[in-house]
Amino acid sequence: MSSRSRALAWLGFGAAVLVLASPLKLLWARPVMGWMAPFLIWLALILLGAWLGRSRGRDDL
Amino acid sequence: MTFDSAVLLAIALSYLGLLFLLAEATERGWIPARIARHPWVGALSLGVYASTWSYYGSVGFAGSEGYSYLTIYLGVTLACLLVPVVWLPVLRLSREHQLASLADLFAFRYRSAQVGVAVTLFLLAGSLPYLAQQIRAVAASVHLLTGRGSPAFLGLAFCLLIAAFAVMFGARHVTAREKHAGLVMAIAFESVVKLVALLSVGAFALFGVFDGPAGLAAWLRAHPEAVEELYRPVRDGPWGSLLLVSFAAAFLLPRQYHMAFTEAHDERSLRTAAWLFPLFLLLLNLSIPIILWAGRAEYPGGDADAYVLTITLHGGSAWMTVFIFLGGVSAASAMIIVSVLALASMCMNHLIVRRRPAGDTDLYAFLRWTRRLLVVVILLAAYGLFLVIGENQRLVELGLVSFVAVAQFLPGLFGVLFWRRASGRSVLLGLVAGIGCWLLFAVAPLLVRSRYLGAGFDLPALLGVPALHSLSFATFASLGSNALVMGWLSLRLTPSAEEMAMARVCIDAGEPLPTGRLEVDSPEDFTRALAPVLGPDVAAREVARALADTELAADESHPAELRRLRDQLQRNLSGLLGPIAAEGIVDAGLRLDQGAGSVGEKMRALELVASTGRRQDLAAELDQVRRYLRDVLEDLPVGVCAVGPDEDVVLWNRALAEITGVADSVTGSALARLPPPWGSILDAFARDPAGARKLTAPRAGGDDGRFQLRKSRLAGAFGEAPAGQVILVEDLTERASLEAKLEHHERLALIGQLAASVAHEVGNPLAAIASVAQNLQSEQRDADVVQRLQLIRDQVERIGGIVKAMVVYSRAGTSATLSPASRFSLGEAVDEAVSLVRLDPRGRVHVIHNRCGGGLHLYGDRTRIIQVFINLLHNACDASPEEEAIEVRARPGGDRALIEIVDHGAGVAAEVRHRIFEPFFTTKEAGKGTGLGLSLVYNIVRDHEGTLEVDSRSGKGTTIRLSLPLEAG
Repeated sequence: MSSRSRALAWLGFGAAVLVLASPLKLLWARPVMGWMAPFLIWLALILLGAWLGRSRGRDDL
Repeated sequence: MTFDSAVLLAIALSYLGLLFLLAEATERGWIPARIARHPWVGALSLGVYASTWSYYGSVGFAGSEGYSYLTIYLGVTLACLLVPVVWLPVLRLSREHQLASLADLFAFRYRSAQVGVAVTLFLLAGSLPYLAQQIRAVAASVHLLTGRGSPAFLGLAFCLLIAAFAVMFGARHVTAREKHAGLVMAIAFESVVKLVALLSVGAFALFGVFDGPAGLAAWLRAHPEAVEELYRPVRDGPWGSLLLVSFAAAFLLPRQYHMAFTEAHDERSLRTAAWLFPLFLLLLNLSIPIILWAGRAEYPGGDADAYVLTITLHGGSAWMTVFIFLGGVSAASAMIIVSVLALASMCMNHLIVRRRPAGDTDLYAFLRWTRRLLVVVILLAAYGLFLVIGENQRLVELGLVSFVAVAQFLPGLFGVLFWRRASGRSVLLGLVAGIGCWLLFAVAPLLVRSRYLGAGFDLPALLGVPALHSLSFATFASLGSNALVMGWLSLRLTPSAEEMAMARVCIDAGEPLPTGRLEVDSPEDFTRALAPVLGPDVAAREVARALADTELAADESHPAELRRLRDQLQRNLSGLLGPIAAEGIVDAGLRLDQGAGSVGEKMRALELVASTGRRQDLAAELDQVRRYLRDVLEDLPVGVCAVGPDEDVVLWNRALAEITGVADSVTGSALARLPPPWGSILDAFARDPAGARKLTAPRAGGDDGRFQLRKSRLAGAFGEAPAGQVILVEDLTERASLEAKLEHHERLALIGQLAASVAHEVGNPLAAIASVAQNLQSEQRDADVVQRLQLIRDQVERIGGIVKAMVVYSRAGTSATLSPASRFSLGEAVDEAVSLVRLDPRGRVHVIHNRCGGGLHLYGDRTRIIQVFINLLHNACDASPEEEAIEVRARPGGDRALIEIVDHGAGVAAEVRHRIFEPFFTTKEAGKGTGLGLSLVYNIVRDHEGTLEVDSRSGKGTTIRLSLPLEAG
């Protein structure tokens, strides 16, 4: 596992924490966003993880 | 609609039977390995995270805390983003060191049995209420569907079924290295079942209750507060603390650790789980708001925890209700089975094994049956707690309290993966502080709400913490105190060398550096040493297994390889008995000489680290320098042997291997145990206070050689003093030979100069004597005087001949006397020399065979070469009896002609053989030789860059071997 892969993982984690646990969550945690907003945010984070995983996979080859 | 409890029990039994069948089919290989070991199966098995709390309790949780219920899964998503930096390193440690549980991991890293015991007890305490909750959920669901039946009986029946499955498919193997593929497959299947079941409920709620998405949208428009209620806790509730505890729970819960690390086949499962596991959780939770709203629409005021069942029970078909019920059974059974197995493994390794009496009992059977017994005991304990708790608590509350307990292991895990200074004592005291706070701020308020304790025990309430933030307060108080105590103590206390070594293993992915030399000599000794503790059969099997793992031969004796075998054996025993027991057993049976800091082993370990590609944390430049220095030492033309402080061989370079014939694989061996005679020679020299010594010893080829040994003491390497010494072995054999030749040449040159000087000084008076004698002779008439004067002239002439020969000798080899070099036939030159020899009466009585042929042509001074043959043939004739044959033969050898002059005469005595080329040395009678013939031959041959050897045996003849340059081309 290269240091770039580790850095990517921490970056992804930091971004997710920012979206989920910082005051930024107030941007999406509003009824006007619709009841599915949390799930869409969640799905975006999953896709981010998958994308980082693919990047890491190529990087580790 | 109600169901008969017997029918439900039969259905649950059938479902578990299906699981049995699936697990058995996987174990027997009926399901292809490419399916059973597919990364998706491993990733889906992590769905064991979703227990009845998720299945039933999420709706209730969402009802009271809105979207805060999602934090339990969003925390997992956060954890999955850290798969490469947290999960994979833990997986690597678990696999390489066969660590079956979190307690094993902590005990391994912190080298502390107490830490292992503490982790086991804390996890047991945190998990039992959670297990009880699962039993309650299943019993409650049966009760709801049947409207009757004793929860106690239903719970007991469920526990017994689960125990049977866990014993059969989860405790089949006794060691962590053997995976339970059937269990993994069954748990993955259960994940799919509960997902499909919950989606089915969601679909039923959407289409059965709201008549589709449009109906739902209309209902939401009519009830805008429904969405607002979901969002409000995100802004005001304990969102952050819930994210934190679920982040920790994703991989620290016993069942999660078990499926992610203990049962994982490879890294691919975790890499896949990084996205598939959160996606599974998302799908699982997608229908929760719809079910909640459907429940509220249909059964306002009802128990939200039961909406999943009540919606389908009253509105759906019987089959669908049964399927939803099975989803709940599935969620509960998967969670209970895996949790109980993980807890049983921890209890076995940290509470039971160390108290096992050593002896001849079958260890494998003991482990297998004790683990099974532990499974049953833990399940019964959870069942007992279920009876005590009853209906007092909501599902979610018990789950959250367990999560907060599990989060207490985060600081310790941080120490495992990232912080070298973290020590066992600091982690243990941090845990005690954290769990203390957990009991005070999380468990006690729960017991107060359950009316087991008085209101005075609700410390958060007494401190004025709002009920909404009670969990956050408990989380941060416990985790904060834990981390503070651990951090402060870690900074104050110095970790032991063992802890530092393990930190290197865990953080740098390095190999454990050996700290001494093994006191056994063979794998057979391993078996003998371990038999008293493990029993003879188990000891033999474990040693054989370690030999197979390390690919070592049964007669391996190399110390470094035996050390590797010991390490592997310890790892295997760790998978069997836990790291602390394994270390104790191996340390007791296979002792290391701790006084010996084996530098050689350390260097070997570093080499291993480099060769296995784990150099990512070593600077490339440092590695290059290391390699360069190693190559310099290896390629030195002098033998180098570096010896560690314990006198084991650290370095044995190529030159030394060639000199001694002892291969460089002796690295790691004790000096005294090297093959004779070099082992004893070097060992004695290492102990000798003298810094240098010359000696004669056998060389690699078998012949004796002359050697110079020097040594120098090393200090400071690896921070240890003394660090051993380095011994240089220089082969002086060639040099001694060259020095003897040089000495000989110098002596010959000196004699030559002396001869020239003598000839010059004697020549002039001799000429005067001859002249005077001639004058006197011509003047004398007396015949007697004339005859005497003639005698004087004869003797003067003889002296003149000798002087002339001396002059010739003295001038031989100087360029002034050399004729121009030319090409000539060797055979013809020998023929000419033979003809000249035959002119002498000594030459006529011998048969001289010229077998040189006509094909070889020399390049040089033909006249002087013929002189060489004349002198050699004269000597051969003088040494041989009459009529004895003398042979001259020649053959090409590269760019040289190899010529032999063979006689069968008296030979040259060994004691004078080294002097025959000296001027004036002769073995002939006085007056028959000047002693200059062979000296002249030697000089002429040397001038032609040839070589000359004498092979002679007294009484058997002599062979003179000449090597002269052939004409080029």
